Amino acid sequence: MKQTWLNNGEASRKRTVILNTIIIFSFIAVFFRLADIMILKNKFYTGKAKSQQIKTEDIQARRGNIYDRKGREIAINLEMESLYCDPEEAGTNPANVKHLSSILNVEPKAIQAKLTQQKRFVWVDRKLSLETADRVRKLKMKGFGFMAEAKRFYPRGSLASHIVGAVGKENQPLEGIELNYDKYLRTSGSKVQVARDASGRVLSTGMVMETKGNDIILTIDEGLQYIAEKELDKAMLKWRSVAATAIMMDPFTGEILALASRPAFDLNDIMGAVKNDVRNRAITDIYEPGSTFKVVAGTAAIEEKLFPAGQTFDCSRGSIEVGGKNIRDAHKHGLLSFEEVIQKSSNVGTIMIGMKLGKERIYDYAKRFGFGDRTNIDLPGEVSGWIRKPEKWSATSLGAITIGQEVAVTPLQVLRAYSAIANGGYLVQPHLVSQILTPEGQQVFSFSPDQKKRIISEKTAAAMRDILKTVVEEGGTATSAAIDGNKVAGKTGTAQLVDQRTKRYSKDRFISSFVGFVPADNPKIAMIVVVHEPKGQIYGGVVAAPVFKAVADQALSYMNVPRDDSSGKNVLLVSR
Amino acid sequence: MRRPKKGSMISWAYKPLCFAVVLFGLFGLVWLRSSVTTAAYSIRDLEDKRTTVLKEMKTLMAERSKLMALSSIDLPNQGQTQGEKKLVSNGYVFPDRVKVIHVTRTKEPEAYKASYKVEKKD
Repeated sequence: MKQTWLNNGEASRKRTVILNTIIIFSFIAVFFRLADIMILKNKFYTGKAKSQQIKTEDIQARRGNIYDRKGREIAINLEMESLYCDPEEAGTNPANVKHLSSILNVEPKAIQAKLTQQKRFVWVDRKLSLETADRVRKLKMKGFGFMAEAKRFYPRGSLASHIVGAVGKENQPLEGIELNYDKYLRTSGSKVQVARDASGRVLSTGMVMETKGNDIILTIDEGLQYIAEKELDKAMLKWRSVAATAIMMDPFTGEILALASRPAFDLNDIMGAVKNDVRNRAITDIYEPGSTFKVVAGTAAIEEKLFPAGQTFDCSRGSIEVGGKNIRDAHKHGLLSFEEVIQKSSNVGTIMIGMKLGKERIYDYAKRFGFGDRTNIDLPGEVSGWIRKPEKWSATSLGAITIGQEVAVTPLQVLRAYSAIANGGYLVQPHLVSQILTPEGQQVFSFSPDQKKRIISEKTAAAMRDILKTVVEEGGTATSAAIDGNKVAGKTGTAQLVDQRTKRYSKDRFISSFVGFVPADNPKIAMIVVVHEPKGQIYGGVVAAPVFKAVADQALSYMNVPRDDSSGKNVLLVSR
Repeated sequence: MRRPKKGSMISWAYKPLCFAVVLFGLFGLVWLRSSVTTAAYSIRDLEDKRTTVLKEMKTLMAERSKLMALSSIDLPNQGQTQGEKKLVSNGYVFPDRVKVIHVTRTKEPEAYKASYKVEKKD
């Protein structure tokens, strides 16, 4: 019995030893395996875990917004979703193709072609609206996904199209402010790593997943821009003209309040616009200014004190010979005073003034007014126009240039020259951007003009202002520009276009213009209207001046500019 | 550190109590950590919702901006007819400048006062 008990004890001890040995070896095996996983294969498993737990997300980059001077949105971003697929995973399920075709409004063949591509990533359709994306998402198709993208949106459609410019499908700038200020508007996106669980839920990073470029505040006013465009459209229709331009500027600061060019284009569909519509004629098209250029000779004569008060010019012949060429007046005038030469826009009288001045002084004053040089407005594509140096003038050039031929200008250059007369003799810097702000509202750019450049004396500017007022009064060439309640100062221009076939001035193709400022004695706006090739009428006083009146009349009301005759009336005195 | 006397109730429960406290502490830590993680996931869900709402807000603001454009306001009252004639009145009216009251400000550093200047009749 005792032997049996001993045998049992021995067997039990053996089993215990075996069990313990197994346990110890198991622990050793586990220990080595853990050491293998945690130390030797650390990098491999860490990488594997990271690929499962960490996901890379894009921080979306959005262009800055563009606002008008009153903070109204001109260019903003819309959030869209772009649909992509992995053709290998998606396959070519006919039901999917049919559903996608009806939702995306795309031919089934086109979708089929995308699904059979030998790639792992294919765009199915870009920049879908959130509603459309939701409809596609509800189909729960395998192998399809969405990516957030921004689409530039211009809520005002074609308004100020030549100023704002536009962007392409990839949000790349194409024209206007979008192109010129791209470095401020654009921002680069980045990537951020986020943790996720087995079911794909993502942990919050606490980061804002969007970065935005700087916002631009323009000097234009939506209201004034709309008025200018509306009246230009009416004029285009009335005169069946091929193009038209109007620019409105603050003559003291150079702030462009409105800049309209016709034909225009829809900013939301620049790809559908023809090249001719995209041209910004205010700064890229040059033309012979005609009579609006007479202000150069007139101002130079006053500044140089060439003629005593009461000087008259005999224009009774109705023509004058310069370098063997006869230059005529539209109508015979008789004896004209200095003021009347400008008021009635006499070619003969102006050439007499020009001859007294001489070509050097004519050229000098033209350059002082900025002709032949870019205004350096903050838009791409501006041309400088041209005026030849006096040594290159022909025998007829003195006569021709004095009355605005043989020179090429842009509408903006002419407006800037007249603004100098309006503001007392300073050449201003036209500009469209007043300031640039970060998304947080901090200013990164503010327009500050270079030192004021005086080109004529205050006295000369005042004298020319008085003469330009008579142009709009009875007996002048632009009575149709007169505005009820405020005096207008300005000048008409009618220029012939050169026929490209004959290389001579065309007899039926003209450019009609009117440039002026109002109220004449304390100008709030300076404006130029240029109508290209009107039909039926050709004169600036008949075609362009009424457009000036229509725009200025509404603009003054819009800006609440007091009437000249309301001085002392309706005044609320506020003192402290 | 004071230790309970041998044989008392507290003495008997002292060791299990300590063990329980440590155990609860450990579980508490794990529970707290998992709660923080759950909260982070919930925050992310809310962030996603906020992003969706912001996207919709941007679309609505763009729509509002489009409707507020002067070109939209100034459209003729299309569709409204009076007999055979279609009404074409504009929706935008500019103020009458005769009725405008202009404000001038004097420079004296006093409290603000406002008065209407009546035109003198001769």
